[in-house]
Amino acid sequence: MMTGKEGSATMRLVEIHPARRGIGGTGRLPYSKPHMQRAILLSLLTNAPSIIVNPAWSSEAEKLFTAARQFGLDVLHDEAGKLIVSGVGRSLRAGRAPVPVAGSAFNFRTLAALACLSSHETVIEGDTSMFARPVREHMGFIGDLGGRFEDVSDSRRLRVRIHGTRRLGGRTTVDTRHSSQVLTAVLLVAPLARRAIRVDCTDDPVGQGYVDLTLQMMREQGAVVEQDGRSFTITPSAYQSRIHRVASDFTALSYLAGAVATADHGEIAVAGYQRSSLSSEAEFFEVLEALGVRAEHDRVSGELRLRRTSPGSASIEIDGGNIPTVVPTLAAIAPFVEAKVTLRNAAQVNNHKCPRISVMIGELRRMGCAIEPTYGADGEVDGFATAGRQAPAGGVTVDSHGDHRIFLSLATAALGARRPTSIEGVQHLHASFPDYLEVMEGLGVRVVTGHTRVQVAN
Amino acid sequence: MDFLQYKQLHVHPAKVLKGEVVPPASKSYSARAVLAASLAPGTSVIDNVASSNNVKAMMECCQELGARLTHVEPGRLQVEGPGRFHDGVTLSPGNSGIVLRLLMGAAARNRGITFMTPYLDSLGRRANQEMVDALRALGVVVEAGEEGTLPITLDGSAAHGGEVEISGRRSSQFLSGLLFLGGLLDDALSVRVPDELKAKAMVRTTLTVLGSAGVEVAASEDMMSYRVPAATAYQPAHYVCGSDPASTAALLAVAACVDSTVELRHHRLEELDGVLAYLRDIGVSVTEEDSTLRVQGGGELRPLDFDGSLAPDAVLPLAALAAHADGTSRFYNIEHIRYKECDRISDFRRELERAGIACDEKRDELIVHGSPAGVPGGVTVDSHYDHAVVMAMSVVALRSRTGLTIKDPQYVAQTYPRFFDDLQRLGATVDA
Repeated sequence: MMTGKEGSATMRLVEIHPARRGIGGTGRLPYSKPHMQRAILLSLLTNAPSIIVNPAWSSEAEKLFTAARQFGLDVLHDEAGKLIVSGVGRSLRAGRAPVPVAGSAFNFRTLAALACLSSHETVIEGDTSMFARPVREHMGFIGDLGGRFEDVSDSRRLRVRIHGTRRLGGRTTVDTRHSSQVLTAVLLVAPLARRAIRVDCTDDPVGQGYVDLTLQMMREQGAVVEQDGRSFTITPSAYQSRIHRVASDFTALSYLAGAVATADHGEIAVAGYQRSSLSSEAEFFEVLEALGVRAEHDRVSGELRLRRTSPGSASIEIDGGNIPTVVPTLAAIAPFVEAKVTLRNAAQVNNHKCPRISVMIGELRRMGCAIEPTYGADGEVDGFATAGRQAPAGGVTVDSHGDHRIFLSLATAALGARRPTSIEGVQHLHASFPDYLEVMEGLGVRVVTGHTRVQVAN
Repeated sequence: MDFLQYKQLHVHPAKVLKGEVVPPASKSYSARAVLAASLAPGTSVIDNVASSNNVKAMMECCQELGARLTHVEPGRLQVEGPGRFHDGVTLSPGNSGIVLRLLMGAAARNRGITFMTPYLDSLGRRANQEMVDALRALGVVVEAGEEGTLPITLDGSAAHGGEVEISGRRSSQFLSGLLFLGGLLDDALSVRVPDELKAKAMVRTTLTVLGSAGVEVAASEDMMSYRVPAATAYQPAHYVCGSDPASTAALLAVAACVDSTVELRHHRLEELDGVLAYLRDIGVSVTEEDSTLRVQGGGELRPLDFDGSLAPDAVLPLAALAAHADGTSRFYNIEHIRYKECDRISDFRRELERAGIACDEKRDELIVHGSPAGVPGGVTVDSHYDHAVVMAMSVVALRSRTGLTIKDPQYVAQTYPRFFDDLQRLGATVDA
């Protein structure tokens, strides 16, 4: 974080101590933000009441919820862990005031798609940060499907005015090279269109897991979506009322499961774990079992117990293609597994907030781990390999590269090092697991937080 | 136009209605058949299964409990029961009392079953104390809100058979739920109704479905005592659903209220005792040939009383028709319809009055003072989350002078998702 004084910066460091005395106890996890976002939008589009169990409130979800209320979502009941709302189906009306989305491209794109269903004009308004995001360029679907939009931005606000239509339908092409959000936006509103909608994607969507989640939640509420390769055809229907049980964030779980693998010993429980039906989560649990971390879920109490067992074989091969968010965690776990571990087919993970595989390999090596990159046919890094359980020295400062997942993964590895490891970037934890450090302390991990002023090279 | 996606619809007066219509499949029979099939290990088939929201809610709950449901062709559902329902499941019965009460029985041998509903002002207010007390007497640990309202959690680890009483005054659904549980218990179960049983027709449907599933319930002649033998097991079966009584009654009233020639092609009439005779007696021409009812309406309507216990689902459409008759009609023996999606006596009476119809009510009676001069209409009426109110107020609107706007009409889909489409096909005008 720059302090304004040229040539110096304040790095917020956290020192994670080795868990030599083991870990134990019960932790809690955040619930899934993508589930929550879709639950809000689907509840609004359902012409009946819905329940959202375990609502996952982030600032982005709160803004989306406020916008949904502006479109007509009614709150019937609000208590901790349970929210009951009533949607409006096609009777969407945002009123004259612009619908604010601040700096959220997801909110901008999905609310713009909602506005296409309204028979009234809607203005969607983002802040200046939105000028740098490719949102206006990807609104061609509005015209393709029968609506209209005008750019009415000024220098301080990005604004579009959308004229919806009761005759929404037809065919559109969505650019899915860099984001799946526009695809999700069009898919979500499509069942309420008057006519069938066909969406063709330019490429296999990045964030396939998010698209799968969108489709799964739509289908659970009665939507009829057919997929043929990169094309989707959505038949008009109506969304059914539903209890949305927002799933636990299984990527956040990976850091607790990882702690069981890297700490000297111990087993832990996760209270109130809500499994999703995503294939990526099921695959992650299979990988955990192969690596020697057993997860047992009691459906009645909701408790998930994690304990270390022996790896499934002497050499473990992992396909990272469908589990990109946990690849950095698996890199952190691999040096502590008593088996050879190779993970491949995850090149896309290197195209995220930072090149996550390369960064993890680099930072783990600084901690003293032996871990090698693997390469795909195109010569690009597509995974990593380790050769058995190690006892890395630690005792260094590692860099999260501004990426919460790198921070969390490095903290996971630090539990297995011989000396404490300092990690930079704690301020980014809010993006996915704000209570991580408190949860780890509750499990017996020693965490020392502090600010350190350091000189940085120009 | 998908009428189910709007918060309100206007039903215009109609001069002439003409055509054929097929009433939807029975939600009452379908919901029971889906549950019985899910309880049987192996593969069952249900033909002409309903697609109403109530039945969809039952299907979703059974899937959550472990059943595998496949629409193998339109109207034909294949059900594979899991053998034993899953523990630790949260279920939403939607806004359906029958789905909730049947499942409270059928899932009462499991652990950690929680029921919750988003319909706070409808199913969320309906009391289930009779069922809660009966389940507790059978060893089930039950957590519930005041008067047995939702959310409800069951732990049936120690459920057992024996003798139990259940009131049938407010609803027969509790009795049906217990009979479903009886088929799952190791011991015999005896159930006695100590007070009165209004909706006998619905209990007969339960006995028919259970019988098809191999659960032979011995019922006394007066239908006040029942015995399910020990160690009964649900068996896979082939079910065929008849036509939905509430929807059929509504269509009969639609056809009767304006100048019409409408043919209803039904699959089998259920739970509609006395309805055809009532229509003929008030001056509507109804002829039957095989599975077709030919209705010619639009003439003068005579006022006439109706014993609502014969066909509870027909009370609201017949009362709507009575609004157009020349005099007063009493619908009696109907206290139990106060405990449905809404209070079908008081709430419905208020909506009739809003539309310009004079009414009175007693504890178990709705009294409609009809007027051949016609109903003014021209106002907005509320559905109270109730499909029966939506369809009945549509009957009022069709013969009114200016039509009615119905708020929250989408709840017609609890029973009859294509009601407004079918009205329009017969010649009525409905718009958003």
